[in-house]
Amino acid sequence: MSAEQLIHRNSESTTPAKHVERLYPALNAYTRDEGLQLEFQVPGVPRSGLDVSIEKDVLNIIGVREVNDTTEHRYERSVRLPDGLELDELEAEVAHGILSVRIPRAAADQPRKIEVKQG
Amino acid sequence: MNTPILSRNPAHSFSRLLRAFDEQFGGPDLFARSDRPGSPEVRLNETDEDYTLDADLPGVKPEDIDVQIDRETVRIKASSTETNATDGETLRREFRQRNWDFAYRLGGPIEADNAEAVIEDGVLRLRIPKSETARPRKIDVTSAPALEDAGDDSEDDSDNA
Repeated sequence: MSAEQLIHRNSESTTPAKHVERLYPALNAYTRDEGLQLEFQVPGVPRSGLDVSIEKDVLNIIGVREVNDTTEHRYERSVRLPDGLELDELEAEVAHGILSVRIPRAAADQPRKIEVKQG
Repeated sequence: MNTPILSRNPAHSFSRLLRAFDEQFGGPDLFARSDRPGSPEVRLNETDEDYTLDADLPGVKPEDIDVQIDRETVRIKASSTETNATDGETLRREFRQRNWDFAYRLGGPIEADNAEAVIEDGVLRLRIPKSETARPRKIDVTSAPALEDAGDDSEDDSDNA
């Protein structure tokens, strides 16, 4: 038996099955001049428990929280994103149980100030 | 707290349909709505040694929470901070700035001086030890000393039972 198999077997035998409670995190969404800002309530989820991903135009949020030895909360939500965003520039951070996701507008969609010339 | 926590799925952004910006959040989400948005939830536990209280307070910073213990009652006041987009438009609002004020009466005397309160990731964890007098004590049960002759020499028997 390889060391990897051994570790796998050990972890299986020592990890008790947790009760997983699925939760739907509340969302606030704002547009800003720079782009879109989304805020999700994920109390108790540490940074290491968060997974933010984009699949085509859908933003997926998963946050896992260990409530106690027997219970796990799994926050999960997907949001279809509007057009005209620079998805590669997405930034996410978490503080005080709020996950903030900011996505800037694509350059072509940025508001521009047009100078009015004297005719 | 500005550390990015992004992991990207490489299969992304093939085509984005043309849609108006503000239509996006009116449509149905992919996951069914369930449970309790914004759930402020409290878990109270009691052991032989202490009471523990966990309260979900998302958006609450350590300086915006106040915990007071009066006799056997613990009272918690907290305010969440809301990040408002002042220069933009609100597309969806499922939670708001909130003020909490709630109290629990614990079941017996406590050592308020030794209580500990920590707030982390928007969760308050409070531990309040019980008073010595309120803790269950194990009483050793011994067999009664055998009564021998009730004579004058009974004083010599060990008296620690």
